[in-house]
Amino acid sequence: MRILLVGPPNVGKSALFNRLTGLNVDVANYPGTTVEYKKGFAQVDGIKYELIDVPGTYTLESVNEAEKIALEMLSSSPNGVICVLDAKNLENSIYLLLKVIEKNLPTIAVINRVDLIDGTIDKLGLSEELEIHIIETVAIEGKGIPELKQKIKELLNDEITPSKKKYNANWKNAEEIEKIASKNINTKNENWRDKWGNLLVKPLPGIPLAILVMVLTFSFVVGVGLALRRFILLPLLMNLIFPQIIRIVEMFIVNQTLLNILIGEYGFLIKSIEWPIGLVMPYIFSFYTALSILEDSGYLPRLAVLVDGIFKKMKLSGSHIIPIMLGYGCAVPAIMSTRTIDHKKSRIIVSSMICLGVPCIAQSGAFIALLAEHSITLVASLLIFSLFIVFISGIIMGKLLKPIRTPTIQEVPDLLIPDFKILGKKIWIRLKNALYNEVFAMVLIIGVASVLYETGVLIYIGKALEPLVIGWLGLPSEASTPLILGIFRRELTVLPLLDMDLTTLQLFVAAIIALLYVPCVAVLGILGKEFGSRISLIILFMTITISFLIGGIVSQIGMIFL
Amino acid sequence: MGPLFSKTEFICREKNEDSSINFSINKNNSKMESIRDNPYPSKIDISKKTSLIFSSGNCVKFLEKLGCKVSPLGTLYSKIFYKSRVDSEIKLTDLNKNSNILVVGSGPLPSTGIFLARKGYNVTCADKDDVAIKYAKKYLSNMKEDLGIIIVKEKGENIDYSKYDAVWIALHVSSKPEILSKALKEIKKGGKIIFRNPRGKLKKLYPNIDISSFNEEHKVTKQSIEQESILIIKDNKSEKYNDKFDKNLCVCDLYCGQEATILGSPNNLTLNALGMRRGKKIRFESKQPFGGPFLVSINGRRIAIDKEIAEMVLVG
Repeated sequence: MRILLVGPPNVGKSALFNRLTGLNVDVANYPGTTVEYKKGFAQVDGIKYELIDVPGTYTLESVNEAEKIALEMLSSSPNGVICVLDAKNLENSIYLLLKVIEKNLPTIAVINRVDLIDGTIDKLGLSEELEIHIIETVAIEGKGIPELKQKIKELLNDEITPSKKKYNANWKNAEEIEKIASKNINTKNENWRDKWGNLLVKPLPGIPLAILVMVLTFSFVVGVGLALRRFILLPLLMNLIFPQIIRIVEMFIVNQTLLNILIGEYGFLIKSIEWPIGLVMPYIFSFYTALSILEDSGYLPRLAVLVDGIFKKMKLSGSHIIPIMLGYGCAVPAIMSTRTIDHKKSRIIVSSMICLGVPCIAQSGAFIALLAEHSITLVASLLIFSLFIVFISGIIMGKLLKPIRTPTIQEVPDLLIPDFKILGKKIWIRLKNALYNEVFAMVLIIGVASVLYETGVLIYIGKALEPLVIGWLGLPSEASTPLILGIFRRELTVLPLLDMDLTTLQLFVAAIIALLYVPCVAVLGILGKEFGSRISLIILFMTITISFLIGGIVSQIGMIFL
Repeated sequence: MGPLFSKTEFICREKNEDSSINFSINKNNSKMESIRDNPYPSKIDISKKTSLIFSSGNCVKFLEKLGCKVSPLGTLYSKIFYKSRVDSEIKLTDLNKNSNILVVGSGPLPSTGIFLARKGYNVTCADKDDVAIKYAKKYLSNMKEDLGIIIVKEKGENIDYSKYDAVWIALHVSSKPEILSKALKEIKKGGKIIFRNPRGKLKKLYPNIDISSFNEEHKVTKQSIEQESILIIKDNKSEKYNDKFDKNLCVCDLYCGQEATILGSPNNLTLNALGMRRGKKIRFESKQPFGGPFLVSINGRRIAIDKEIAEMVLVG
């Protein structure tokens, strides 16, 4: 049994989907396309069904990829359709509903966000007019969900027939039907949410507030991450877990080389637990918490509108800031999320900006561990440097590639108070995925690294790179180790530096090189998959050259002044 | 026999229709031009259907040519497909005797023209296809009655419409939106334009013009074979709007917090869905810095649009 969930964007479709399916969710790609959709299994009274969250569309006219897919899904003979209507924008929703009714499928209409209107929707009148079952819900609060489940049960038992009313789906009809439905709705006074929703997107005070929001987000990510690491995870690892591990290993193994590989300075068992769990995980948690709150509060579209003018200079749209922000988590999903951008050149520009200037959360965690102990201004200046690189590389790439810019047409949805249950679920899913993907790869590379280190291979390579590392970059010769390891994992360009005694200048130079240096193997893989191996190689070459060039220049200039 | 639609035209169309933004932004051309030239949102989804229209257009042509060669067959064909339709259309238009009528895309068998001429109107038939013209001339000269029909070879986009009291536009003509807007712009005040739209299943085959977003007074009658005829009457109202168009008042000219009524907006489905349609109230909220977008609200819904688009949203 398959049921489609159809509706316009920003209607609370995801919240409804979450209410109906629980934790059992897959994100899938529609075959042969770049559009993602969610599907999950749910059940009512023991009848199991598959619920598909169709990409949100304003119309069904196949003008863009998402609409084409929505149309195709509707034509794939599903068992039924749940069409979500927006109580606040009924006219557009009814137009979409008329289009859905034309498909002649058993349909349940859900009017969501009824708490946002003053008055009542004439549910009966609308229901009679369209010969369709209508349920009112407030999905984020869970209101109306039991009634909806009851109707879904009827639908699954074939008790709901397609509407026999044949309206032409055009705006004139939609406007007339909307008049029937909304005769009891008063024009509502502005509440605090509307007021703030407007203020946040006006240049004044929107831009100062945006800077404040970004500073707060940054402080939250760093602060919560540091606190988790220092006060909970590190004491836990150092005092409880590591002594146990060392005791057990020493009980069984006597060979000194093997012992060093396992629990020595780069000891596999120590680092492979300390780095992912003690260092990276706290920041993964704090970053995705902050990002999910920003997403669920409806702030991101406002930010996109505020920065649209700046992005226009790079021939991009303000909404491209969302993949870039995702990149501060991990570049792999960020580059995948550029699929929503319709032009390939724009996608390549955004992806290169991420590869060059945006550190992933694991690397940021390592940066904070490396720099924050020294001085927090170093962390802040690195962040500013990162934004600067993102901007400059965008401008230069924009000039070089000359992408086609799609004129901005963007709805700015209402501000929302995030629901803590849904938020918690979102953060949990992201944390789980990140840990699965990160920890395994990280442990593997740390394993390889500790073997290389203990067998002396790294020292040998370090000798070969000495003129570059010592002469041009002004770093100690051990600093070649992170440059080798960094090809595999981004944070490993930073972590080995932790135990070296570096000056402030050396720290900053090393951090800059680490930031600009090769994105990790996984990112090169995804670049190759998305854009072809040529682009992937060009980005690899570009990042190495630029990082050594700028790192060297900063080092040389710094040495003159300090 | 030449195809009804030239291939190159279709390729251009497909490109236009495929991009998510359905309008071009010409920096040099006045922005008003682009709207006035195409005030009719062409809800045409031509991609994939190209070949179908080709074959169906050719099929109709073949039937009509056959009708030309074998006269009785032609008369029968006209009677079946056109008589009742033209009759109801004449009723709908309610024209004076001796009106000058133009039929655009009359084809090899100008049935509509013939029925109109029999009612006593002065009829001119225009078609862009040489072969169709040849056949039509032959068919008329073979007829026993002299109806005084003038046949001209001309593309619909190039005709001077100001001479006519009424214009009939055939179902099959290509670039229908362009022809419609040119005719509407040039025809006399009170002039009437009749065109045929597909209904139901035929919608999938032929370009369909969405009437709900029409600027002019119009009437619709359903016809057989999944079609409908639409009459538009040019009246003073449109003159009024044209005057406003010339004043170039667009959303960008409003001050923050000012509200106005939309008189014309770009033909873009997302914009339409967000409520940016003729007659809606629009409020200018703010302009973003660094040459960023304009923020407007319609019915409490906030929308950010680029300057280039804001310039095309006309208000009054």
